[in-house]
Amino acid sequence: MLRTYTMRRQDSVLWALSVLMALTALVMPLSLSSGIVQAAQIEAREVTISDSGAAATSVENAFSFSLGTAGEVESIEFEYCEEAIPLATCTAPTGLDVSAATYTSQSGWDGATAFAMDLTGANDCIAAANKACVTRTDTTSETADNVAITIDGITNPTASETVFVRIYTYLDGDWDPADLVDAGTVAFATVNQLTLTAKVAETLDFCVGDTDADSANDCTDITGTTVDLGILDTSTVNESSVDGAVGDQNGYVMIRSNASNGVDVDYSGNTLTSGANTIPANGSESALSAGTAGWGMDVTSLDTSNGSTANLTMDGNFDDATNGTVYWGSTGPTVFDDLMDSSTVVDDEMVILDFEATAGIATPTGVYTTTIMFVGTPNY
Amino acid sequence: MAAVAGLFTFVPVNAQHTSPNYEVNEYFFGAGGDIDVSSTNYAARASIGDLGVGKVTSTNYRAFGGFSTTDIEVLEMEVTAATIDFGTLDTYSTATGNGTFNVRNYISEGYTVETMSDSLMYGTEEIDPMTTAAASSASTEQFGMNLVANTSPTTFGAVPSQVPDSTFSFGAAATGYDSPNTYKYQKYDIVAESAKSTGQTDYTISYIVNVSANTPAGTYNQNHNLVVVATF
Repeated sequence: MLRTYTMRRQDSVLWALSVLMALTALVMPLSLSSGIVQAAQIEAREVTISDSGAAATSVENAFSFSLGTAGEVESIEFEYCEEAIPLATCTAPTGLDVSAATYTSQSGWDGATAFAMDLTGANDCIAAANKACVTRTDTTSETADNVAITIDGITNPTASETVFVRIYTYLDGDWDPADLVDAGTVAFATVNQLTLTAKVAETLDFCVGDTDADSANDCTDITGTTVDLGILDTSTVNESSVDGAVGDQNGYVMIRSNASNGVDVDYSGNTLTSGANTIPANGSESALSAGTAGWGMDVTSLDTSNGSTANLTMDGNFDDATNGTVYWGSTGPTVFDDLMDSSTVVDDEMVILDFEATAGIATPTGVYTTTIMFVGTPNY
Repeated sequence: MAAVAGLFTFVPVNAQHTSPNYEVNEYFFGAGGDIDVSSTNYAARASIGDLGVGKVTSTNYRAFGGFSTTDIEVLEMEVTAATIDFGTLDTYSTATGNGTFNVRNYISEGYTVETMSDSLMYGTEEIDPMTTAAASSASTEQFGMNLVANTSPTTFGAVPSQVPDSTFSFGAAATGYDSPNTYKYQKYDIVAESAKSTGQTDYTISYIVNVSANTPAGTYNQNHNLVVVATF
């Protein structure tokens, strides 16, 4: 059993009395006694709270301590005060409320029976806003080893202050003062909280071109505006990347955004037109047939090597990994169709587009063109 | 001299002795003292001829001796600089800021200060906490802190300051938060501590925040919850 001794004088009269007592001790018996119930001291005691904010709710209090006395412990009182000394005057901290506290867990006890919160209490522990009472039925003799018990659902005081929790253990389960075994005080502090704020601005880099310099790995690499499908005839299906003018005849669409809800990329445009004549768009994802007029767009690949993400997903009409199928879903500049999208941020992800077309026997001669518009929409 | 034998029956009591008009808190056998010696600018608790002062321990007993030694546990913590605005972040530079708090803890076996908060959060998005101590790196998403003086990424922060000096106070930055220019953040970490009863230590927290191009846009916040745990 560990006892703590301290010595201090109260006032000058009593100081003189103590000196007198020392001088007269040789001729007088000196007997000191106390009419107050003694309790051994709980040692190595502490409480860890889950939230130090004033007026915080649903706060957990995790108590750990070493019992001062080996023996049964069937009830415990936790008394929350502004003063530290057990059994002395207790001022309840304003706003503190343990009346709805719940038992959470325990460890280190020799008796396996769990304590339970008693919201009524009895004897020394009448449950109150500043008093929590736990009890159990377990006559196992506890050793003095470290034990722990955690209760939850506590509301902190409304002001920043130091709160002392006086812990009392009892032999029986009803907090009878005659069964008081050990006592000790722990403390916690409610304090201001440091409030940190930081802003991250919205970003969007979106670019379209016919050439990728493949140097900076961002939109500064993407240039150009023209994709050439070459000269169409009925004997073959032209691909822009193969049959176009000398040079790279792919289309490139790259996007970067820190939109936490992702991005959506759409396209629109008329069908290939020469004056009053048109080549019909391929309205379902399929391969063109040489000699049957038609055209469409294909996603050759999704390039994620420029950045650090791989979050774009192609629309179902462009997700065919096999080259040779094309699709075109727009009927005009204001009719947008989905190309690809993501559900989170994207970092310089890029699609490589290929275009195909073929002429039919009845396709009038002419230069057939269309202007394709791409729109990138971030959802922050 | 038979009356001498066994006369001193010193009963260790936790409670105090009272009567209707007087109260005796504790006993002192010595040359003298006063627990309230004060003037306009000074106050003291003084004693002369104490038989022993300070903490003494054995296998089964521990005592704090001394006429002017308080018998009341003391724990005080104060957060003194409460709002830190890092402004608008970019990927080219590191945002920094300082917070301050102090702790005093007496008649104890020491204390720890633990950080109980998540990192800077925007909804469910968080600025990546630096769970391993490391240097600041602009364009890499990081949130970290330490409790020492730094020169990188800029000159800011301060070492723990002992009040009035290091013979009275012993608080220190904890491992992981005690190296200049190295920052860390992990929820539930111990960031400051004292291994013994101590006067006041003033702490300065140095925060850093870096973002990457992929850090989701938004206003990030943290209510930094610091909890002091004192062992008595």
